[in-house]
Amino acid sequence: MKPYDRILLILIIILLLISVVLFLNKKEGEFLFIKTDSGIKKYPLNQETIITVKGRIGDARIEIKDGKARFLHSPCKKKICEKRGWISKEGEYAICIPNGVFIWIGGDDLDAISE
Amino acid sequence: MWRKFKYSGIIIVILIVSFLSSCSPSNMVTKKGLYLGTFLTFSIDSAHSYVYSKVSKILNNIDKKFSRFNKESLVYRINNKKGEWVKVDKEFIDVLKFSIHMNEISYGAFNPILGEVESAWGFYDGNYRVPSEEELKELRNGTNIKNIMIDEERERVKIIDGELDFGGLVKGYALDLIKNLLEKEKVKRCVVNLGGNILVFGDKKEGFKIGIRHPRESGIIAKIRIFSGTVATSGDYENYFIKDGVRYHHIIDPSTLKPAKSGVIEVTVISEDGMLGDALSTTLFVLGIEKGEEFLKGKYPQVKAIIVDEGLNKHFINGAMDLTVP
Repeated sequence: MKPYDRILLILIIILLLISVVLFLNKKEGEFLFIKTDSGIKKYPLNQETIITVKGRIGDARIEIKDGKARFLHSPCKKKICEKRGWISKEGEYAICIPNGVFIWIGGDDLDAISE
Repeated sequence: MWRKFKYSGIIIVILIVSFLSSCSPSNMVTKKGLYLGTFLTFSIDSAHSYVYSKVSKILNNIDKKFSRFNKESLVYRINNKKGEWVKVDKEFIDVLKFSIHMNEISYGAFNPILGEVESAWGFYDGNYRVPSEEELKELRNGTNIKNIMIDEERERVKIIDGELDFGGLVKGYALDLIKNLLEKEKVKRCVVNLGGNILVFGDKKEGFKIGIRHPRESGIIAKIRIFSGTVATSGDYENYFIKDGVRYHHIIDPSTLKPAKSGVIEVTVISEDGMLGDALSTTLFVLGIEKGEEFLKGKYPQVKAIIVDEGLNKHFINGAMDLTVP
């Protein structure tokens, strides 16, 4: 085994380990994504918290608890986003159209959810 | 000799394994946007990511014709110029004629001219209320399909009474136009989620797995696997309000002008044709399980459906059971 072989082998093993970690993360790692006009933010679902985000018409509060997330409070009128209740599976989402706030979950093998 | 190949052999194996694992759908690009008053998630193979801007154009164009809220739209103009002819185009007439056809074959269960009724219940603006029987009686005339007049030769439309609302099929129609575009662009793989209406397209040996939302809890109630086509779901959980312990949802039964009480709480339709599937999900919701099953088996044996009743039992029509996966 020549020195370059060794370097190549080590590099490949490192890359492989990274992709294994990424792959496992994708399977198990469940995150909540929040999109507002100012961008997309990601939060782990296993950390209980209440996040306040700025929307187009006011502040929305989003709760993360027991691996699930929901709109706790939204300044909109119809409250469709709050009625959506808890979301926890990959591809599930809740939207507040008047306030321009979207939240969704990343992590499982479904291509989409019909609703 | 063997020693020389020992490590490079391992390396080659590792390279092959890494290559194979990178062939999975990770080379998909996902875009998100707001169209037709709902949320779009668009995933496409990265070589065709440029197609998204064309999809965006298609959706904005549909909005300009079929939205009841867009003040520039044809539907808005027709609704606000009762009794006057409004110039439209062939595409508009085709969709309108399809909606009238659906009304006729469904014994009125599908109705594209319920706008005033939806509005009276507050389902458009969130000012929810229960209209009185008298109020509903007055609105009855406006829900007659005969209020819609089409002049095909001069490409114009007028309504005498009532208000058009294409909410029951426009998302499905949008998926049909997107599908045509994907075919034209020779897209390899694409998944479109337009407000819960799904289109899957392209090669995926193992098929596309679609979850069907649980109507009462977080998560899904069923999982299906399809290789192409569209999936449309209508449920009583999206736009509703509860008053005096009664749940009032936005799927209106044209025969009562009240939220449909057919014993159904969710309908999923799996169809190659998106507009048909979308319209059928509402139609079956209104018809209920028995009438719905008879209707679908008689008229559209190629279309599959899953109906969830109030007891959360699933009813599979036209072999939809075969699509389910654990």
